[in-house]
Amino acid sequence: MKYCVLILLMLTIFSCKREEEKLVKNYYSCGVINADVNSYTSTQAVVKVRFFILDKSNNDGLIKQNILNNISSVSSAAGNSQYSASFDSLKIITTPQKGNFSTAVLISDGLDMEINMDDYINGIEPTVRKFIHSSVPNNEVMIAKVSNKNKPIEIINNGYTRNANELDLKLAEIYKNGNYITNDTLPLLEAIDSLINYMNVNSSYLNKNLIILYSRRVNFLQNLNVNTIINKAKQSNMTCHFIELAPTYTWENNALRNFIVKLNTVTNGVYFEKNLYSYYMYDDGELPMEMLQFSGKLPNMIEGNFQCFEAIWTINTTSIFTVGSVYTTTFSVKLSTNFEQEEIDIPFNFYINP
Amino acid sequence: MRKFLIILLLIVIRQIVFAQKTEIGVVYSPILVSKLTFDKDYIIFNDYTSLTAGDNKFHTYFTGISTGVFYRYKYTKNIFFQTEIDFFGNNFGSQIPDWASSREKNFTYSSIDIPLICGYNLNPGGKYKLKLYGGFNNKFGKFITSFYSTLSYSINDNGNQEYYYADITRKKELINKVSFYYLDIIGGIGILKYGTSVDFRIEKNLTNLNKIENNYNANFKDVFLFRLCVSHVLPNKKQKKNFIK
Repeated sequence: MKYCVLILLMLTIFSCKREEEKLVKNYYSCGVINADVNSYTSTQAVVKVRFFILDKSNNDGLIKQNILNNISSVSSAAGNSQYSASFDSLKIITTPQKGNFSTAVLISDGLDMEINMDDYINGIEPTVRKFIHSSVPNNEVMIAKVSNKNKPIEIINNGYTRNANELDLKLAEIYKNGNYITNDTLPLLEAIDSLINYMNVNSSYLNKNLIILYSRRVNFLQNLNVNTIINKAKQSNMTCHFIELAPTYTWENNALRNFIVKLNTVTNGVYFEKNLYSYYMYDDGELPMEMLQFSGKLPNMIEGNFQCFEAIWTINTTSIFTVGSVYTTTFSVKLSTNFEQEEIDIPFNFYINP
Repeated sequence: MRKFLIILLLIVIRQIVFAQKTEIGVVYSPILVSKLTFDKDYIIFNDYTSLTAGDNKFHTYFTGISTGVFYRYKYTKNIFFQTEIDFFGNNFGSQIPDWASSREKNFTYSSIDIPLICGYNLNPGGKYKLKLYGGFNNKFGKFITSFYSTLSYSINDNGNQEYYYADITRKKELINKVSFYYLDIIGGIGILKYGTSVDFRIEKNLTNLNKIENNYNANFKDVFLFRLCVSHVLPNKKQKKNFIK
């Protein structure tokens, strides 16, 4: 019996091993700070694209190496238009300082269709939480929720705060209960309109920002003119950022996505898309690292003084560029990983400003 | 309570040195029924994720090699004092609803338990001896062992351990929230025959389970443990020799 106890004791002691660090592979993601049209004709536009590349194996994450010889354009098509682009110049720049900011994150809960959005919901919650925690206390943040026809907007916890912890439990509650079926139609436009009014009155800083998240619905109320809302955002000096966690093709309502893209492009906001074409194999339950890395850097991008690449492209179309429209095209960058060369596609949207 | 503990400890130490009516043995706990409750609805983690806090239900677990040694002093025919040093597993996995359906649902840590118990034998002369007991259990440390399934790993091509369940980080964070020391109240009932005893023990924490209380995060509230314990008295050589003489 004594020997049995001794053996059990030895087994237990030797089982208390230390965990070893996991090998982190290179894994890149990218986004666009903004894209400005410098000049245009009916068939040609010169676009200045400010973009960044993140590497998750790097503590800082930002790629700052010279990528001049690794950048190439990808011709793309949209509708009846074919684009081709030629690369003019590339340099590393620091964006202008914009100072402290007031930012609202607009979220909506519930879905009006039966679809498994667990991955989206599980991914977006830490993304929002990290952004909020990384923003305070120098900046003020708030969460607002698109609710229903009777109450289009719900301001969470009395609006702006500099204590991110105050929003932690509420965020968890919203997203843990978010994947349910709802029968109402999302009053998104009315909610944005009300939120812009609220922010114009209550924001402490001129650097005002709006992030619209989790609004994938089949239907949304279009009782307001989208261009009126976009103009209102622009006149209010509001920058609208677009974080796209779900693949584009999964949007059930393209009108809704097109609206958010246009709002983002016209107001010169950050556009970030989850790297959907990577072969990185996530562990069971592991979060998409690029989302967390990006959301930690987003406050810095909004404040300005952020180091990024600036490329100038001349884009030709086989169709005609129309004033007031938004167009999408892509270029790619080749980077070496520990194992191989990886080509990263960087989609960007540009707006032909009247 | 502190006085009671000190007196109990002194009695135990005295009896270890001087007493004749003592027993030493091993204790083994194969099954645990537990419930862990929280004071808020959600647990927020350092990686900015969250989990729904406990489901407020009792769950049954096999606790592997939860084992220890005990020392018992028979004060009278009926009354006895007992202390133990145990390496016991504390399992709560399925009680976190978000983990309940995952492949790796165990949230487990082991602790060094030092219970100080006072008991009463209802029928000391009987064939099957029935005993009731109560006392306090001092719980020290939070040991993470591969035997208790909190860590799951495989060996990769380079011969390194590779941990393939990502929730390990969150489990470790949750375990680290537990205070290094806390005190449980303990009660039990057991049947003894030929030196082997089968006991059912109930435990509930008396002191705070949390290392640090957080106003904006779920803190541990209460822990309830029902444990099946099998103990066996080891033969005492001195007593045997005296008996032969």
